[in-house]
Amino acid sequence: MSTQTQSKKPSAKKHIDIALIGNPNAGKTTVFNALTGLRHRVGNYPGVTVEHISGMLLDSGKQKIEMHDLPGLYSLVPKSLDDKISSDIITGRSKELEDVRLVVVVADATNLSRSLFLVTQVVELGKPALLALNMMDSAEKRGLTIDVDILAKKLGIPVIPICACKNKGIKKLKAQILTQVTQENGKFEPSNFCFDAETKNILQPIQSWLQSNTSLNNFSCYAEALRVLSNDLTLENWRTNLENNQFAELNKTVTEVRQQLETKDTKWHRMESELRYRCIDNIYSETVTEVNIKKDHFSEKLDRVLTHRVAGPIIFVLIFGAIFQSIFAWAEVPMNLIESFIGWLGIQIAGIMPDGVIEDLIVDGGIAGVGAILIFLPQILFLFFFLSILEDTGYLSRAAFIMDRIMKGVGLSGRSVIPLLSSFACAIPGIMATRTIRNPRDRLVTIMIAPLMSCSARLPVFALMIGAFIPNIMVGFLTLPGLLLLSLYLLGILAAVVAAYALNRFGSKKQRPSTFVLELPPYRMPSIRWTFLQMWERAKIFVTDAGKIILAISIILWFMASYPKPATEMSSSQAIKQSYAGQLGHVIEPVIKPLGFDWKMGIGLIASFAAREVMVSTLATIYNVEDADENSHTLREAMRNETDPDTGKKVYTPLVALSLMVFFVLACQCMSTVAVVKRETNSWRWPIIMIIYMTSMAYVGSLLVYQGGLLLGLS
Amino acid sequence: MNTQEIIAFAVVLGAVIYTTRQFIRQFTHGDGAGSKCGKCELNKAVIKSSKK
Amino acid sequence: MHTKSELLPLDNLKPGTKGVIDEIKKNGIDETDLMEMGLIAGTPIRLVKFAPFGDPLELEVRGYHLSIRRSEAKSILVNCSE
Repeated sequence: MSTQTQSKKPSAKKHIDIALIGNPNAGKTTVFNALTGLRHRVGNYPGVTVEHISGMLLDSGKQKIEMHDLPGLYSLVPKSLDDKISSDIITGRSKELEDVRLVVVVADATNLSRSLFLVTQVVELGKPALLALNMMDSAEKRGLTIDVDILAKKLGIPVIPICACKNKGIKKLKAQILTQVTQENGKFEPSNFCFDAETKNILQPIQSWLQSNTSLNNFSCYAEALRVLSNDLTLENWRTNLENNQFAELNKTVTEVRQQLETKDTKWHRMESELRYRCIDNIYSETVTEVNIKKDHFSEKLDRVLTHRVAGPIIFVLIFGAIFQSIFAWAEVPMNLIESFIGWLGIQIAGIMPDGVIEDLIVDGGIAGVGAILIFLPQILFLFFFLSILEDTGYLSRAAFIMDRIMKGVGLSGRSVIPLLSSFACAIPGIMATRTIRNPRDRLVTIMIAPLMSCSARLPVFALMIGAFIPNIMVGFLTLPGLLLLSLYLLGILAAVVAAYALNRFGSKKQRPSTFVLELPPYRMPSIRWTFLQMWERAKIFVTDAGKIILAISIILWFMASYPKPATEMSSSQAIKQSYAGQLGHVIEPVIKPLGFDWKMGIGLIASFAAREVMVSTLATIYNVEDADENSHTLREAMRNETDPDTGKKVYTPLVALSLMVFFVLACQCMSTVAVVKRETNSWRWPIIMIIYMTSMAYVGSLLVYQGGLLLGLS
Repeated sequence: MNTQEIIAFAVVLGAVIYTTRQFIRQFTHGDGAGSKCGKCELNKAVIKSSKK
Repeated sequence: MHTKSELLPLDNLKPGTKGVIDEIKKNGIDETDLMEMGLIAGTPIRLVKFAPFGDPLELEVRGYHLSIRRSEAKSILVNCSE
C-alpha cells in the first residue's frame, strides 16, 4: 500500500520516509544520531535483535518524518547483501519501503573524489536528494577548500556543509531536509550530467526498453541502462523484478549492445566507472582548491608502528592482552561494591518480609539470581569500552589488514575479521555484520564460526571461575588470571580457525576466490561522549535483560530447587537432592561426570543453553536455596566450600574450573544466536549443524582437559 | 497450601509463560505478520533478500 | 632506447613508489570492484606498504588509503616515473 493514498485521508497522519546513505566511514551514524537525537546503535544482548535503525526526524500533529539509516555502500551495484538492501531501497525496488521521499547522502569532505561516485549515482536516479558534506573542518585543516555553491550547482542538488561530531551545521541540515520534504515533489530538475551524446547514443536501446517496460522514471533510465550494461550483478538484480520473458528481452538487448561495443574494442564492463570518474574529476577540479596540502602524516606515522612487519602483530596481541588484563584489574572495585550492595539488599528484605515462601522466592530466587549477574556488569562495560575505542579509532580496519593473510590461509578474507572481532562483544551483531561479506560462502563460514569468539556473556562465567579458583600470581608482566583469560579467548579463536578450515574443506564446492577491497580510514580520536553513551546503552540493555529473562529463569530454578518439599525432616543438602532440580541433575550427572562436573553444574549447563550467563545465576540460586543458615555467603565462597557429601572432597578444583571454562568457550549455548543464524541463513540446517558441531567440540575439549589433567596428577 | 504458596506459584507460572514466550518470539521475530517487528519494513526487506 | 618510465604490475613496486595507473587487466578478478573505488587508468597512485605477513598491500589513491590483495594488484599496471 502506498503511503500517498493514506495521506489523502485527513484523519491519518502523513508519514514520510527518508533515507540516509553514504560510504562506510563517512560518519553516517553520527549524522543520524545528531539529526534524530536517537542515541541508537545496533546492539544486542540476549533479548531482541535490532537490525535496522530508523528514527523520527519530526513527529508533529500533521506529519511524521521517519529517517532510515541504511547500511553503508560505495556504489549502487549490489555486491553484498548489505549493499543490496541499501541499493534496492534507493532505486525504489524494495517492495517494503518503496516510497522514499528524499535521499540524504553523507559524504566525507576529506575524501570527496571517491565519495562522489555514489553521490553522482544517486543524483542520476532523479529522486529528490541532498548532500551532507561531513568533516568539513578536517578537510580545511588538510588544505582543501571546497566551494559548496559550485558543487551544488554542478550536482544539481543542495549541498550542506556539516561537521557532525561537533554538531555543526546539523540545524541547517535539518531545516533543508524539512524544506525539501514539504515541497511536494519540489522543482527538482536535474540534468543527467555524466552522459555525453555519444554515451546516450550507445545506451539508447537499453534505455528505451527500460523506459517502456519498467516503472523507472524517465530520468533514471539512462543511469540504470549504464549500470545494467556495465555490470552483470545489476543485470541479474532485475531477474527478480521482471517476468521471465521480460528479463530475457532485457538480457538480449543488453547482450546486443555489448557485442556491438566489443566489435569497436570498447570494454563495456568499464564504462560506468570510467565515465563517472571522468565526470567526477571535472567536478572536483572546479570545486576544490588544494593549497599546501598537508597529508595525513599522523596516520601514516602511526601505521609505521601499528602495521609494521614485526611490531604490528606483536602490538595486536599486546593490545588484546592488555584489555583482558585490565578487565580484571580495574573492574574489581566496582564489582565488590555491587556485590556488597546486593548482599545488604538481601538481608534488608529478609528482615522486612515475614518468613515464608514469598520471602524465599524473592531472596533466594530473585535477588540471588539477578544479583549474581549484575556483579559482572563492570567487566562487561570495560570490554565494551575498549572495543568501542578500537572501533572508533580505526584500529579494527588495521586488524583486518594485518590478519588477512592468516584468514586467507583458512579460506576466508580480512573482511571476516571485523564481524569476528565484534563477536567478542556479542555474536549477534557480529553475525549481522557478515552481510558486508561479498562472497556467500565466506559469509556462511564466518556466520558458523562467529559464536566461537568468546562473547561478553561468557565473561561472567570466566570471571566467576577464575576469581574463585585461580590464584592471583604474576606470570611475566601479566597476572595469571589475565593470562588465563587471554588464553581462553585464544582457544576460541583457534577453534574457529580449525572449524573454518574444516567447513571450507568439506563444506561446500569451490567458488571463485573473493576479492578483498578494504578502506583504511585515517585514525581518529575516539569521542569520549559517544563511547560513554554506548556503554550506557549497553548497561541499560544488560540490566533490563537481567531484570526480565534472567529473573524469570531464576524464579523457575528457585521453584525447581525448592519443590517438592521434603516429607520428613532432613538436612538442606538432602532436601535439594530430592527436589525437581536435584532429580533432573542426577539424570544427567553420568554424562557430565567424565568432565568433572557435578549435578549442580549440570543444572547450570542446561539452563545456560538459554543464555550463557544464566549459569552464574543458576548456581547462585541453587546455593542460596541450599544454604539454610542464611549467612550471606558470596557465590565464590559457597563454591570454594562445596564438598562432595559422599567422598568429602572439594567439588571444585582449579582443574574442574578449567574444564568448565573450556566447555563454555566452545559450546553453542545461546538461543538468540541460534535464532539469528536461522534467520540469516534462512534455513534450519545451519543452526542445527552449529549446535551439534560446537557442543561436541565443547564436550571433547572439556573431557580432554579434565581427564588429561587427572592423568598428569592434577586434581 | 497457604496464600503465600499460591502467590509464589502464580509468580513461577508467570515466569514460565514469559520464558516460553520469549523463546518462541526469538524464532519468529520479524517473520510473522503479527509479530512485534511485522511493521518494521526493513526487516522484511532483509528477510526477502536473503531468501533469494 | 632509453625510457625514463617503466610499466610494472602494482605488486612488483617497492613500498613508497609513486606512479600512474596505466591499465587494469582482466585476470579473472572483478575489476569493477577496484574501479569503483577510484582505480582508473590515469589515476596517480602510491604503494604505501605491504602488510606484516606480506599480503595484502596498502596504497594511496585519490587522497585515501585502500588495501587490496597481491592477486588483485597483479593485474594493475602502473607507469612509474622513476
